[in-house]
Amino acid sequence: MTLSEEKNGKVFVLGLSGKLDIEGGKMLVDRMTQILAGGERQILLDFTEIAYINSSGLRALLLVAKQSTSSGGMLVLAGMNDSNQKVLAISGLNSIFTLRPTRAESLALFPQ
Amino acid sequence: MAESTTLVLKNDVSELESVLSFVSDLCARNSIPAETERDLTLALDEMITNVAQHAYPMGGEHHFTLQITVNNEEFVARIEDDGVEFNPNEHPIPDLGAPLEERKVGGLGVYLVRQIMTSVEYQRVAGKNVVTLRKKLT
Repeated sequence: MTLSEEKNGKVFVLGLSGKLDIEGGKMLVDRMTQILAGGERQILLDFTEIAYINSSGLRALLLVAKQSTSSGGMLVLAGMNDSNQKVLAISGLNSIFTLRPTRAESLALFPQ
Repeated sequence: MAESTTLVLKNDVSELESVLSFVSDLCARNSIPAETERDLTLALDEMITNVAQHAYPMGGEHHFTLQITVNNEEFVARIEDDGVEFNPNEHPIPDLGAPLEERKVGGLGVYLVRQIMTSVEYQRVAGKNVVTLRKKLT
């Protein structure tokens, strides 16, 4: 997995690309820990380029959601494809996360 | 169409790459649709990772087998390891409705496999775990 980053107003946008698996999950948790420690609180994770998520990836997503919530942050997930949404739904995670089809629709959710 | 292959794997997650690439080729050869291929990939990923990470807690190099059979009706994966006893059908189901604060982060792998495959069978035979995953293709 590779990560790309940009700041859009107050929103920190982390774009993920590749597979969210054991390795990708570790990368996501490590980077999110740094981002939250750096004071960011409005975070958008863009999954448009993520083709595959397994249970290690879901575990990482749950960890990241817990971290974000306990630091008083807001997290939105953008661009999950159908098969990734299916895995999230089976795992009961679609009710835990805020999902939007695109990055633009996700950005619109954050307070200005 | 009908084909069967047995792969001998080491208890190391690095084995996944070759297994998943084998499955991808097999799906292409047998015109298995993308959504089904994705389910098969996820199921094998989870089960093989489980064996590699948990079946041999004492460490050291061990071998286990994965037999994949596909015909017009179904895809069957039989995983046989001589590691610690593990029945995926008795693995506790995670509390999917728990709020985020109480939600446990692990335990989803086996649950996912049971949801996406048509059936998961388990036998303990002569000190071995034998797990058979089936997915209907019709």
